[in-house]
Amino acid sequence: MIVDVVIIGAGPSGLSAAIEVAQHGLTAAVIDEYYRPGGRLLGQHYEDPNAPPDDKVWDGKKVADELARKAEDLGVHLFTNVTAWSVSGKWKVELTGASVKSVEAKAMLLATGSIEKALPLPGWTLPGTISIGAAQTFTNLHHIAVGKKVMIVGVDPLSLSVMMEMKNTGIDVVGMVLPPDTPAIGHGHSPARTLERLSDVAGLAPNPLLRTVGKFSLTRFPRLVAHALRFNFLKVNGVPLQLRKVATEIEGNGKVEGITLQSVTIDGKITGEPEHVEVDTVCLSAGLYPMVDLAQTAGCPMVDVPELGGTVPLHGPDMSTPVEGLYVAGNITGIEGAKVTIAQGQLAGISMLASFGKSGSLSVQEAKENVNKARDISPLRFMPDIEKGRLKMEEIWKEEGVYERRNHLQV
Amino acid sequence: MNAYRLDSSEKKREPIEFYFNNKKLSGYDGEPIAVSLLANGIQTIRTCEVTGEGRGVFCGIGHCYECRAEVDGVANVRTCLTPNHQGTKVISPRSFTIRETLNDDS
Amino acid sequence: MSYKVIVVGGGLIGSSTAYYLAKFGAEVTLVDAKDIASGTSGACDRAIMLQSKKPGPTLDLAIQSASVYETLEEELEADLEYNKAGGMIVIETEEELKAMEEMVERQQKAGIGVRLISGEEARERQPALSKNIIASTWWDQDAECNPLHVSFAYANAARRLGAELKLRSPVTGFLREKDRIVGVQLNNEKVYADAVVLAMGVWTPLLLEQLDIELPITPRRGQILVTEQLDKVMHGNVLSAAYIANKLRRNQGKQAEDPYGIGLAIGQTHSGQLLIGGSRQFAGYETDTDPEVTRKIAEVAVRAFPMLANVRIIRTFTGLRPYTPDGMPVLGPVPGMEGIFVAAGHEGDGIALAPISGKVMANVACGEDPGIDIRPFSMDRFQEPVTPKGK
Repeated sequence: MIVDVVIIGAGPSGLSAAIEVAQHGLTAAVIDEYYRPGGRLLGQHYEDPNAPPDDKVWDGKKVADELARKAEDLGVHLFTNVTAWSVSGKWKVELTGASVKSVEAKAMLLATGSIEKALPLPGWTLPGTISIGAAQTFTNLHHIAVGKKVMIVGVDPLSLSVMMEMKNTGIDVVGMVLPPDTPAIGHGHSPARTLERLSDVAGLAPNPLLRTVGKFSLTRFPRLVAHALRFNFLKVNGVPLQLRKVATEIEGNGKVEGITLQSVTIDGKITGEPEHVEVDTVCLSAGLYPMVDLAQTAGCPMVDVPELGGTVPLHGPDMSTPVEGLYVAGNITGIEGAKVTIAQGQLAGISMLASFGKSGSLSVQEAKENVNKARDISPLRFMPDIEKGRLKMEEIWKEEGVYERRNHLQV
Repeated sequence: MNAYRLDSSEKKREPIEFYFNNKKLSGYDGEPIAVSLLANGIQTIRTCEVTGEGRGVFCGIGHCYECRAEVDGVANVRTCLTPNHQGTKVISPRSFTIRETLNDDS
Repeated sequence: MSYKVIVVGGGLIGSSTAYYLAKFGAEVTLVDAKDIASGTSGACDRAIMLQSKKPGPTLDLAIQSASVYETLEEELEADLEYNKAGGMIVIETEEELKAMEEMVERQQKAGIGVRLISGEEARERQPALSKNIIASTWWDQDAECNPLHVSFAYANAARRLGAELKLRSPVTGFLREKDRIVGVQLNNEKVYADAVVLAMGVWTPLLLEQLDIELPITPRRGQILVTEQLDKVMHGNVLSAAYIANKLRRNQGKQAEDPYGIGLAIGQTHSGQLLIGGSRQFAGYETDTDPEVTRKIAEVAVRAFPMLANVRIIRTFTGLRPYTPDGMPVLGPVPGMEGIFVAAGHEGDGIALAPISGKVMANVACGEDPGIDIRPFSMDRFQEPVTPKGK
């Protein structure tokens, strides 16, 4: 199949980019491994108190269905349940599971999203241990209880919201604890650091989602933190948030049967005796990082920007990369919420249109401003210093991007 | 339907019967196979080729490959992103063996 | 004072050379631009096969090398995943059968016990083999190893004997006194020695260019597929007759009938993954993988082993095989220059020839008799006389 634009990933950014280019005369194909379009939108369901009254509930599945229908109505070829196993040339994408063997295009957009960081506790391979993202999808999309007694390891905005979602559907979440500081898991999980991160997220941008988590509020947060640290107990939605406990081992014979907890000092040092809690399911949450494999395969230089969530493809403010015809959008460029990535997808679409000598529904500048606006009204914030990260990337782009692009064109 | 199914406002779906290791189970048409399995209380989908330990769904979106099984004769299918249908046959790959393909030189 | 030697290149050949030099008591410095086995030796299969070698001096060399391997784990005090599991070359057509009959006859004359077996016997030894295989060669003395382990084991053993390893240290130039090389220039340091051995495989000609010396080694890109872990399904290493034909073909740049040079070479690692090669393409120093090649290798593999249709390929990589016009390695001094030697150009024979190449080069670099006639491997065998044009 030959199209103008091939897009990998049918999440919010990939779909919105497809809509933008298809609305302005380009042919597009979108490829996704999942059996239905939407990406991480599919698991999202929450109330956004900041939104206009008739728009309070963010129903990710509905948003996904709308985006997908719009794209298909515009003639976009939507491949789901299809794996892109290779990208080569400029550009040829090899497929498995599709009616066609490959898709060729002049421009390629990588909207591959993010992947969950591992939290390799002893016993984490036991059936019944699942990632927080899986718990979210199973609860909100498939309406399945991941277990009957669930412990969540890792306290962050995502795990807090999934906890609420599970609790609201009647699943018995017995608690939330922290991961231990170990060489395999990494450091920075101590109670003090976790709270610092949470208050960063809550403090920098008033985080409506965190406020809805029971009693969190901007003004009360510092006091709650102090309380939680001293008494190791804070109930949110009836779920004990045990900020002075870490999970040291998941136990079970053939499947999860329990979890070992230990008290820690605020610096994360283990104290006291281990404690055993009976659960049949453990959800691990260690945060997300950009999924960049295909960008690397496509020859795009990578830059490590911790504020964005890790290593990301070098890209300009218009979502282009130094590699001719290669664009990126969404969580591959940094971990953010769906509203931001939808705006990024449109921006990437407009940039791609420009490379074909066509104009889109907005100017590049206007589309860029839309991304910033979306960030300002986002209910969920994953990286506290995301703006700093975006600026950093713009600086690196100014220094390296132009040079790298020249290099690539010569090759 | 059972203890694992949560209330949902979603429109009525088509109930189906499918097989896991030759045992007949019920689920809904179009939902991922791993979801149907979990609805039946099944967390262990395969065993590790090296250690023989059980494995089940971990990431739920096709990244980790822990939930793979043989589906209608095709090996290594990720059950978390493959829709289930009436009569689908799912088999746990205990470890790869050449049992069925060995003499099948088609 | 002891004799000082610099070995450039930490692959199989270089680390083996460094080890035998250190064993002789030389003061050795092993230098690599990246790391041990970071080039071709870390991107190849695992076969130590004699029956795939061209009868003649290369096969004679390989026979000596194979006997070194038998006791090498003990000598280097390391697990090399060495296994004398046997090897076969499978035959699909009457035409291939004829060619292999000739090759087997010549190899038997050279003293190796390879023989032709029927398709049925081949399937008894290798139950997953397709019914389309009409015959096969078989030799129980063919072996396999993990080339990464071998490279590291040689380098570590050399270090234990006092060799110094300078890794992530690219050689940027030679230190020269008239027609004599007296050392190498690294990024921030000069290293002096009585002899320099270049064991840089496909990259050797690039460094020799600095001396205006031409060495006809060309990179030949080979792609290999890696499968998921499986039960033991492969018994020893299996090549296809097409692989041998491609390997022995010496028509650089003229592969019209099969631009990818696809031939089957398959073995199973200790962890259960299959390594499935391969291709032979002249594509410069590009190490990109090509999805078309992936597909073609998979097709050939499934034709020989139908059960592979159900096996997952988890990744693919390429390595650059150092091709020479006559298919034989280069072992010996650089003509017209003192103090500099080359051990390179082993193409697909690097694993099998590593021990003997190292032993030979250790002797040659120290001015000793290697006990083997190395004239067939000399650099000046290539058509035009090679003369340094001195700066």
